[in-house]
Amino acid sequence: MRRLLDRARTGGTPVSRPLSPDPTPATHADLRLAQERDRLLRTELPRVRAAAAAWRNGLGGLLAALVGFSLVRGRSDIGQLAERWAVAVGFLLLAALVVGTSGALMLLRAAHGRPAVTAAEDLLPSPVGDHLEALDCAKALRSGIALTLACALLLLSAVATTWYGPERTGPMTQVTTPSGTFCGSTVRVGHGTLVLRTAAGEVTVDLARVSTLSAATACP
Amino acid sequence: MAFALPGRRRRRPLPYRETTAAEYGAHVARTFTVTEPRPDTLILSGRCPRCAAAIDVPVVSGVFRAGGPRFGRRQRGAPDGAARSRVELMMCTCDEDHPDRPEGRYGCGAYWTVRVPAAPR
Repeated sequence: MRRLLDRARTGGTPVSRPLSPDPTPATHADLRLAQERDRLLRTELPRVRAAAAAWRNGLGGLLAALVGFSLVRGRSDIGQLAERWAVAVGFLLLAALVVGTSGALMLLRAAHGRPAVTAAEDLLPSPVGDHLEALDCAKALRSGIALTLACALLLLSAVATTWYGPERTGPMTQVTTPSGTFCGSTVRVGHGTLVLRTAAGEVTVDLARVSTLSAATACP
Repeated sequence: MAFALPGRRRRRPLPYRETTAAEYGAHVARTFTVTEPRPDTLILSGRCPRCAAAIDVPVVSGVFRAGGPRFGRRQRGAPDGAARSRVELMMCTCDEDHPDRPEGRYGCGAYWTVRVPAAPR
């Protein structure tokens, strides 16, 4: 965050780099190359800004589709998940929020620049200042793309965990009858019978024939 | 071949003409200052050897190009070793008015090369 909002760069300082003339004369091809480089430098910042705005819109649409479309359906309540899996989903969603926010800030920084003030003595000549800003924008754009895609991946992981994670299980009932022992969650009790949901399906037990009845945290 | 010393500014602007001279590189090597705002980025500042306009020429290692490779710096073979210096292609980039300048171009048309020592490691 500090890198996003801090003051802009400091100006350059003169360095000791003695220039020397080149014995090889410049050619017309050299001029064309220098002109092309000059043209690219003059248009560099607007091109980075335009690319960042396009990426911002595209990735924003992708995230909106992920969040708003069917991917976040399935189990509507992570409370139905087994406790450890629900905690994992919570961490994934928190990480997606943090990473997604960072990515969005990076993309906005690349598309619109930093809300920073540069000290007058630090101002650089226009082509150089714009070039350095363009490099910063390109770096922020790459980071923003990576972070936003990571956010989408984390969201997908959270949704997949919500879908395919094991259900939270309640207290189990274990009964013993002359025909065997049954264990499962209680579906209903009435008319002298107990209906259990076991791993093999629903089982109706005649309560008059139950010899033992106990609660268990999990079925064997 | 016109060659203007710094400080001898002409009253009438020079017409745009794509031209070079050995003196241009020598003049730039003698009078330009070098600033390094960041590693891999230099600013060569001084007056154009032809039109005497104040110019700042960035020397960069790459330019952003979406969908393509970075625009690399063209280097010539350096007799004293490419690692120690490189040849920089330069041209006048002034915004002064120069008659007959084609649309979309900058400067007075002067161009030259100069040898820039690499940063000490």
